[in-house]
Amino acid sequence: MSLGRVQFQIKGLNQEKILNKLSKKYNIYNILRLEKQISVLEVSFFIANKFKKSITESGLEVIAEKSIGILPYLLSIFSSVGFLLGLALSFVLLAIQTPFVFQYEIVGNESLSKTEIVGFLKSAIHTPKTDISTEFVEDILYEKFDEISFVSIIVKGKTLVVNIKEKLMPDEIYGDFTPIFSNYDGKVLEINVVSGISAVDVGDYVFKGDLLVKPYYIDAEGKKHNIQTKATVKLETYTIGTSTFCEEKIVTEHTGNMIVQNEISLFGLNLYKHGEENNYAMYEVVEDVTTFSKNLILPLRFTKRCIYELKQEIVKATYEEKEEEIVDDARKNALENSANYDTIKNEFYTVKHSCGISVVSYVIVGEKVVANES
Amino acid sequence: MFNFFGEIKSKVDVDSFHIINISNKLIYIEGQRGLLTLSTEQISFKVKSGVFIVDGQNLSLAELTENTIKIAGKIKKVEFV
Repeated sequence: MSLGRVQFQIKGLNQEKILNKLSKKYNIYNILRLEKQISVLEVSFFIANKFKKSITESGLEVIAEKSIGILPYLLSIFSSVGFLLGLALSFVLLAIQTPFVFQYEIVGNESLSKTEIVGFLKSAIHTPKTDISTEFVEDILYEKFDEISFVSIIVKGKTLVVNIKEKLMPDEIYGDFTPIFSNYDGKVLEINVVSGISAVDVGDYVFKGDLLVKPYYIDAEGKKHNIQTKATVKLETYTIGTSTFCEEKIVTEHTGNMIVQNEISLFGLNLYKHGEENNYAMYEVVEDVTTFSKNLILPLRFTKRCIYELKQEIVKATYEEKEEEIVDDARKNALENSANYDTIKNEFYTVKHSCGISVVSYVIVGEKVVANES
Repeated sequence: MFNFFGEIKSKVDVDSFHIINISNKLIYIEGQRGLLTLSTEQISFKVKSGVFIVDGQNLSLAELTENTIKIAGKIKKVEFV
């Protein structure tokens, strides 16, 4: 199968004689007589120009010429101006961008992100790749990233390959860098910091919300590094419960007498009422209203009213008679607020008397571990 | 194929031309000495000791070199004069 041929359509007399002469020099293919003086024939693409010249010199006329096969097609492409321009432009672009590094490959990173390292390298390297000093790149990486224990750099084509080995850092270096705050008011009894910096000392008084442990440490060079806080902090804290006592007080209570009244009403108008009149000087009313009809077209309401007679008396008592009861009451109040204490160290109460009113303040002192991560 | 003819030539002592007819669709000739006529119904050419006339339909010269010819088409008659 030939790569390419050229087909000629020729016209003239004595074609056989001329073909005999030409066949001594060239191989001719597919000769077909179309008409008396017109024939077509094919020759190899490579000798087509010479053959055409020979044909015309022999006296025959070339009426038409046609290229056949892949080779002429390829040559036509390569001779087109657009193609040649594009090819030239590609070479120019290749020549321009070849000296530079365009890709970065990071190998061996675990905690460090590729984006972070590549971003740093892109900002730090501005020279063509032939001028890149691998030692320089290694040094700047060591300086920038504390996590890197070992790094090696090679330039492979247009790719800068960075192979790193990270230090085995403790878990505290990564994670949530939140400080430890106090949830209680109290005095610091113990503080053991595993990671972070203590913001208080033993014996300090703190309030709820005060900072206890800071989430960073400072290295020998004075550089600050964030770290996950871990510490045990124990506080002595307290709660107060109060109870008030009055030597004279008015007590209102039911006498036991009661009146029941029943009413049926429609649109607020009383249709029916039954029961005694209320003549109590002091009373309490309890009403129960029921609507008879399910829909509200006729809202018949039935009201049952219970009127309880009340009386008031002045009750007198001394503090000493009721002391136990009052102190117990105050203690209960204090205990409610100290339910979360780890231990209760001490309890005591104070009493304040004034104008027949006594106020008991019961204090519970306890210990609470506000942070315990080890 | 040409080794076969070489063997025959050495035995029969002939060395002027060879002609092979393949299924009456292709004739291959070695030793041609010039084309005489060319048309779609008849092609004739000289050989050392005579002239070959090939009659048929849609005849064409598939190949023409200094001393070989390939004639393609529907071949009806091959005559040597």
